[in-house]
Amino acid sequence: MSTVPVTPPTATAPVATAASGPRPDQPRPAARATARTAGRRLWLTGLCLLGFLVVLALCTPLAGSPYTIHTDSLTSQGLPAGVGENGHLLGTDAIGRDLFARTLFGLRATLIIALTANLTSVALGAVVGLVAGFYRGWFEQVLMRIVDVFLSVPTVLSGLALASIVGRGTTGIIIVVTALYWAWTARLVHGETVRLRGRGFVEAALAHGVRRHTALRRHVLPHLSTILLNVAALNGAAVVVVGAGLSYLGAGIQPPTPELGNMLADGSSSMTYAPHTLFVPLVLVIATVLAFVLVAEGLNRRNPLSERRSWLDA
Amino acid sequence: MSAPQPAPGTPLLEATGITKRYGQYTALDDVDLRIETGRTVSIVGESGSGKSTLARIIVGLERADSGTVRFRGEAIRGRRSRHAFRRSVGMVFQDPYESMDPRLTIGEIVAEPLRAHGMYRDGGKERVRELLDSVGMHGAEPDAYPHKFSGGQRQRVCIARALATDPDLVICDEPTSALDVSVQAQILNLLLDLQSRRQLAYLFITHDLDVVRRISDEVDVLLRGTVVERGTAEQITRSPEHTYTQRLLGAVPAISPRQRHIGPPLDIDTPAPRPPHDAKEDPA
Amino acid sequence: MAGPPPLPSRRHLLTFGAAGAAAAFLSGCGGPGSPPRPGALAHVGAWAPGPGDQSGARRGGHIITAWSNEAQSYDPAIGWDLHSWEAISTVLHAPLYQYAGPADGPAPHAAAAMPKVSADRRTYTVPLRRGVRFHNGRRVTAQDYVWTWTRVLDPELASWASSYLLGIEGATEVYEKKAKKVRGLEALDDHTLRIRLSEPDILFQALLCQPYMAALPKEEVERLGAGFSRTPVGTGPFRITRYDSKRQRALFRPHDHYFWRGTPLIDTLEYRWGIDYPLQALQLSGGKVDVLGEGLVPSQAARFTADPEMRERFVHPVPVRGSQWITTNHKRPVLKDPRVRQALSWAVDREQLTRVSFGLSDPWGCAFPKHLDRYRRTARPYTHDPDRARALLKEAGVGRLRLRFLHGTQDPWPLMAQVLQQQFASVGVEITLDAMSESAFELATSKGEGDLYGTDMYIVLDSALELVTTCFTSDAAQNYTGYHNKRVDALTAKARKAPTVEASNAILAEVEKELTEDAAGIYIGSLNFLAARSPDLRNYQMRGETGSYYDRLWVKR
Repeated sequence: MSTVPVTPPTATAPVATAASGPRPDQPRPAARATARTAGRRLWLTGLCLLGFLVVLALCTPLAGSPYTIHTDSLTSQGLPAGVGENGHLLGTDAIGRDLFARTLFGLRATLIIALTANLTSVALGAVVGLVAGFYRGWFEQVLMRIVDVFLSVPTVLSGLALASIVGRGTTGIIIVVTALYWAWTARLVHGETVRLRGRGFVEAALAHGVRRHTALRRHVLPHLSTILLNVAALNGAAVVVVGAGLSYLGAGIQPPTPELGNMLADGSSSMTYAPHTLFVPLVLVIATVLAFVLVAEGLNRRNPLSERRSWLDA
Repeated sequence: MSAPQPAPGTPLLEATGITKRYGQYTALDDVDLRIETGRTVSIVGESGSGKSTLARIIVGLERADSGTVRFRGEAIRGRRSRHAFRRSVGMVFQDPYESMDPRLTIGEIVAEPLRAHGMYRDGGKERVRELLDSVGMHGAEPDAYPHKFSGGQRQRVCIARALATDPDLVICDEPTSALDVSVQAQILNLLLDLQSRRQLAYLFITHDLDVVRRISDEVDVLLRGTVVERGTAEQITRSPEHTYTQRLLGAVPAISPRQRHIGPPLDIDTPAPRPPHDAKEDPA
Repeated sequence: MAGPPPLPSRRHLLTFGAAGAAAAFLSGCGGPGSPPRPGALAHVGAWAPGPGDQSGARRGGHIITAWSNEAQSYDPAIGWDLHSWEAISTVLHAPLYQYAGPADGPAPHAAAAMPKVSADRRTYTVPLRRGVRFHNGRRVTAQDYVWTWTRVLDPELASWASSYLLGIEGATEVYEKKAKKVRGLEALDDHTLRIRLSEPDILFQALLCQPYMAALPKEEVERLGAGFSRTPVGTGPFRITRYDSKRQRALFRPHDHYFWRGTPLIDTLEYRWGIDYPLQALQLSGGKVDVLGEGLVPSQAARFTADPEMRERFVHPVPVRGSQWITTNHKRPVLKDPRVRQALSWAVDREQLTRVSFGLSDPWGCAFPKHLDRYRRTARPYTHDPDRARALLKEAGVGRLRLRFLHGTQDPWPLMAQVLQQQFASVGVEITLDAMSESAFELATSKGEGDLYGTDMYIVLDSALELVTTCFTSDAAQNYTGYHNKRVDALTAKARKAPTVEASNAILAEVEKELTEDAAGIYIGSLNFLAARSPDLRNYQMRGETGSYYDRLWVKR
């Protein structure tokens, strides 16, 4: 599991105040502009890929049933149909279910899990990080020790243990992944909040009588939007892998419901005689992870942690 | 909101026995301060002398280990009284770039104290325009973002914000040190002008004795958390008694104000350790 | 004999295969095999009983057999896993009788003739073959059998097989340490053994074919101590010459004084273990090994099936007597209703289900294996009839039915479970799959957890009685789910005491009919064994009850 790389946002600020160099609002050097363009190209590519996958996942009603076993597609020795054989676009899986339908449904399940779990883990992490970083005191100590505990547990092992408690299925896996990943966001948001908390404009607001939670909402939260987006994109990639991984290990979505992870598990046992049963879900898992990674990397290159603009006005 | 009428002779602001420690380091040691209505008190000292800490303690951004701050004779204690106090006090910070939220328009920035004290609803917009006019930002669009403005213009906006709630006291924490020399004078003139128009008292934190000479009535010289000399601006600049003050006066202004530092290297004692950076505390 | 023997999980012994990991597919072409050496044409007067066509037999050659695991023990009283079983059944030890032909019953092996049975069917007199010698050269006497069987009964040895011998008169006293000698066991002279049973037992004949009943030399067992489990001394066609735990291999050479003169034909036999299934398949197709001891597991069977030429060259289907069924947990109230179990039986499309076993089982809807020796079936197998299933469920008043299906990692259950899930869904029965590790599965099922789980069982004792007394009678060792059918219990006891195999089988046919009609389990298939061996081997034979027969095998030049 990788931590989310964050370029210290203060990199430009001290220069600006210490010397009469270019202000952050003044035209940036050419190199920076190139990085921004490249970054933009990256995250747009990632976004397009993600969009394409979402559209694919929305096509499930057109794909037929992912459960029907087409016995006629198995040879008398029990071998499944290959790609394009017997009227199956991507062939059938080891027991004769249409792989195209299963893949679309599996993709849908994976995306639902990834997007929801991503949202919940980032939201939980953001709230904890914000509260701990802004209000400080013993409260912060307690919260951040909890975060440390969550950061130190091994992902897959504790995920399996947790899954056995909260139960299998979509809700269960979302809870597990949220529990495993919120702490990363919390730590990052905490650091960023502590930094923002000491910024002049927050102090100025407080000095003029703005109440603390108002200052938090007006002056700290909007500045976290970029970092939260970066975190969400990178977290998304990790969540896809862990979500699919748990299903692969049998602790996630249960058969017969297709999910890319359990399809990988099925495919890996049948790959010696029907390689397409492994490669089709594998390609989609890679594509999904790649989409998130591209968005994250692009956002990060484009604007390490800009606070002048929102992420939309490029 | 009308403050209770203080007894005659009560100073506007009175701080007594302010002490602040950061671990082993004593930033302020039993410092007293008095500011009368409409007067300007300067606190002078080199960086690390504790002058900014004093300002932050007075306005409540940091908590003193001991000592009390009284405003019009009333001790500021608890959230309610601090909130009320903040309505009567404005603050101008050193760095006009840092002290404005880049995501807010200047109108929103000026309006912020008004909103915080529930004064925006009745004619807040007009008030903001009026304030911007009064600091010489005639015709500035309140919907513009701060990054469109120069440093001097920004500092004017900050002054407008400090004046928004019509305070009696404005604390200026080195308001000119981040500005170009030409702009510095304009800002100082603006402050003096506002003082004469609005009967403002200033607490002026600075290391620049030129500034002190121009605007101060009284001067406190701060060395390593203690007031070593106190007097009228004239007394202090004409006949300083403490060696430290003398040395401060011996400072040769550098070409760029940004690089200016006060006097020759000071070796009165062993150099004091700097306060830890993360020592800012809960203001409430 | 009271009740069935409490077996240490027979599932281990009787199920073939385990989960096979994925492996890259190496294009199949037979490797160089053993170095070509012209073998002399073998002249063998008489062959040990068992399957095979020995015409044109030649001598010489080196055979390598691959196994996934190390054997538990080559001591016949101890080992029961597949690897041990083959080593003790057909390699190192020679029991008194051995199954004849590819599917027949007992024939004399270390015995000179079939036993003489008394009128009350309780006394067996076994004439021993003369000239049978241990690997150390000493002649075998009737006293050796008395000593060996008494040893199996020794509670200190804790042999899993001891329960099989408790039917001999006085055996229980020895087992309970109340006596030193088994009353019913007597060596009349050096070459005659007399056994007296507490009550008639039709299975006793088959029992004499089991490897733990073969004579062991007392002096060697005492001399070797713990080493006897690795380098035992027996009477079989091969003697062990090296056992290397570190390099995971054992070497066997022909026994010079083997009583079937002229056999075995090969020079050496080597066992290698610690080779997982995908690697076994690769090594076989690469010519590095000659025989896969455990045969093909489904995942590997599919690999060979995918290439018909490979299948043609390496795969050798062997008919075995085994059943595959889904155990229903009779502790669950809804499953106590026979109509619900019958409904589930009708709901299964066995054709579709056994497809994913890749030839390792054939669709079959009866309790006992499809082909049994001297057996006339009266039960009618279940077929696929979802309408009937729905009607039965309705009749039983079952609306929504949710059942937990447990399965381990062992093929083909993970795949079959998903197929079953679909088939049951079509009659409105929802199944949640509970996948777990193989050991967790063993534990959970032996505790009676879950509603349904898959079971495979091979018959070793030459009678379906073994299957019934292991799984379906009230006091059966593997009846973890509380199945209780008085008729089955009574008929089984009767079949056990029947005078002849035919009479016993006639009663067993009724038992099968009862088990099938009552749907004690959901019967889905009759098992096959897919042996995998190098195409250079000639006369490769195996039976599910024993293992590969290396004594009649030769290598093509």
